Amino acid sequence: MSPFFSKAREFLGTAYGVMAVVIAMYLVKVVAKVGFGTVMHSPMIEGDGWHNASDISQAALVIVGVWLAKRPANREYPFGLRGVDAVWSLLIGLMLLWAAVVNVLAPSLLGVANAVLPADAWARGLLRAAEPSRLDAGGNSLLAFVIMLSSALVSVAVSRYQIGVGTRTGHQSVVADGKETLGDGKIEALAGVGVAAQWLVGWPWIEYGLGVLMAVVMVRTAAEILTDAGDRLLNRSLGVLVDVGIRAAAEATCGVRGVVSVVTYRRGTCAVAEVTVESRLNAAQTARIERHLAACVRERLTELEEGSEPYVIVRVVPAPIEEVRYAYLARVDATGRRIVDDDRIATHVILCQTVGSTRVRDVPLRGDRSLLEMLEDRHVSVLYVRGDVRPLSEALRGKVRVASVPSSDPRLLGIP
Amino acid sequence: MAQMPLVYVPYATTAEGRRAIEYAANLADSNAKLRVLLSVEPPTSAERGLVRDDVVGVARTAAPRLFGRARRDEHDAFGMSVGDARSFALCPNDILVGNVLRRDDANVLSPQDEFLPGEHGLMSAFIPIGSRASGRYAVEFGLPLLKRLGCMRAVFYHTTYRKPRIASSDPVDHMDPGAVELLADARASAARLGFAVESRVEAASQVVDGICMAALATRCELIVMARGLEQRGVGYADEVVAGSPVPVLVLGRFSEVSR
Repeated sequence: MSPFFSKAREFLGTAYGVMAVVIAMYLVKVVAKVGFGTVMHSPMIEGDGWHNASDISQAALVIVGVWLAKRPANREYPFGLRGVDAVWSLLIGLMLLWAAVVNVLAPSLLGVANAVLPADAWARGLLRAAEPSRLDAGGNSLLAFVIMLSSALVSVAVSRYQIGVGTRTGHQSVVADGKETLGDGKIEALAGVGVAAQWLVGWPWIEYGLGVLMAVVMVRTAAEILTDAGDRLLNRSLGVLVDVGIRAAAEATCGVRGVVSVVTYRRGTCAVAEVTVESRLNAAQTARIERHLAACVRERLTELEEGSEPYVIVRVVPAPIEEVRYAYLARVDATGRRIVDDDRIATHVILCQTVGSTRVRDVPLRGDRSLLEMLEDRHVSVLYVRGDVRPLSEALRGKVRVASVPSSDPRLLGIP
Repeated sequence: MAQMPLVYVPYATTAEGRRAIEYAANLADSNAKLRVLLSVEPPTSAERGLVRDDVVGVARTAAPRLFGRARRDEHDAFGMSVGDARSFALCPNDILVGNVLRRDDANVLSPQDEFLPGEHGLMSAFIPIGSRASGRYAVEFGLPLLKRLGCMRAVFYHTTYRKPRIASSDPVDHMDPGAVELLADARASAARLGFAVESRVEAASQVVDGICMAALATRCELIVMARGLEQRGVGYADEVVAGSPVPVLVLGRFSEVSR
């Protein structure tokens, strides 16, 4: 194979190459359909031609988007320059909406009115669509049918080519544009069927009716593009389904004590998820939780947000310090330590402070202040005694809870 | 008939002790017996009764099936023993639950920060195997024990270095012959015992990190390892215990294996 063909083949396998083919296809379609539609006074075919014109703009946008996506993120633009895509999508959506209403819907409605109410002459005089269509039974309709059917087949073939190259090169915008090309092919097939029906049945209003239908499809496409662009510009949430799925994945991860927040939004072509969870584990363990969650969330976003590039931020923060202080009333003497229930014979309080792990120390009781004062100063929430809890419960006046333990031996209770 | 495993947990009223009791009760919920270790001379009958009430109270809320079995005194589902967790004699069919407990002569399970072995009990176990005897030991001894605990899925994991002279990017092609044989034997053993078997071979840059990340990725509830039989000092099992968010069962070295 000659170097030229080899390079051409290589180029056609890239995102730039496939979009160049797409633009060439649309150029041919625009010329054929707008030209034929204008001559035949067919708003349906002309409208589809204008639709293809907006597709050229969109294809150009995809090319620019691919180029911009390759610009590395930096400190000034941490998401790179992907946000430009949303602005251009907004403009294309508006252009498509204008074309749908002005170039297709209005003439089609008048055409329907013309077929149904021939007396509306002054309105028909304002627009070219007032001229009756020449797609009557005969060679013109057959030619229109061939044009639309051929266009549909080319669209389907090119869409598969786009999707294949986009998938292989990892450019979701190319894949998305390929899907839109496939949708265009279906519209073209519908139009071809409509022309054939008109040719077979001989009713001139079928073409205008299909023109209205085509306008509806164009408006819907424009609405989708505008909505998508708006979502990206306004950082709209990715939706409850995504948030709930991410939260469930986080809660199911070993070591995660709780999910603090899940925030998802769009930024340019990125689907962004910021997840914050709590953990009580050490740094090595939480680092692994972070990496695992990031991979899970990225996978989830890729699955749910087709065409978007996932961007995931996971933070593992220490769980709130649940400092719990509890104490055991004890007597320490020559025989050892034992848990008691009478503060008159107690000599110490075994103070336990739990912040993750438990620190234990013996605090001697002093005669210059009461047991209650001592426990309150140390923020003790529960005092454990061995025996009857009622006398001390009354003495402490409910300010510190008193509970019983099974044994007077601290070792049995697990107290070091 | 295979005996029900015994799950031992030191009795403690500290926060960590309560978490370990809850985990042990959940682990024993349907498929094991719970034994609480009291680390003093035999307590009075009153003390025994109070400890029993305390632990069964935990089981009532955390492990209702264990509680039900204990109430019916079914197969001696719950009991107490006297002994220090660091030296109490344990059998191959026993498991000792607790963080920061290291024993070479007992099966020690570190629950990390988990209360539950899994949402539906212990269903999946992650078993790293190399090409050495410790991997074979983990398979031959660990699988029957896991089966008795109600585990239904076994994921075998192996990580290998990439050999420069092998062009393939598939880590399986870089495995040592001994590891290939061991993995095949492990899968066959697990299949015979009725496990759903999976295996995962990687070329992880670090063994311990690979084990921990793969256990998380495969959503296993327990990592099961054996210490290297020639190991001295800190080994992979100890590093995994220190660095894994997933609970870890380190198998003890026993001269005879209970099947």
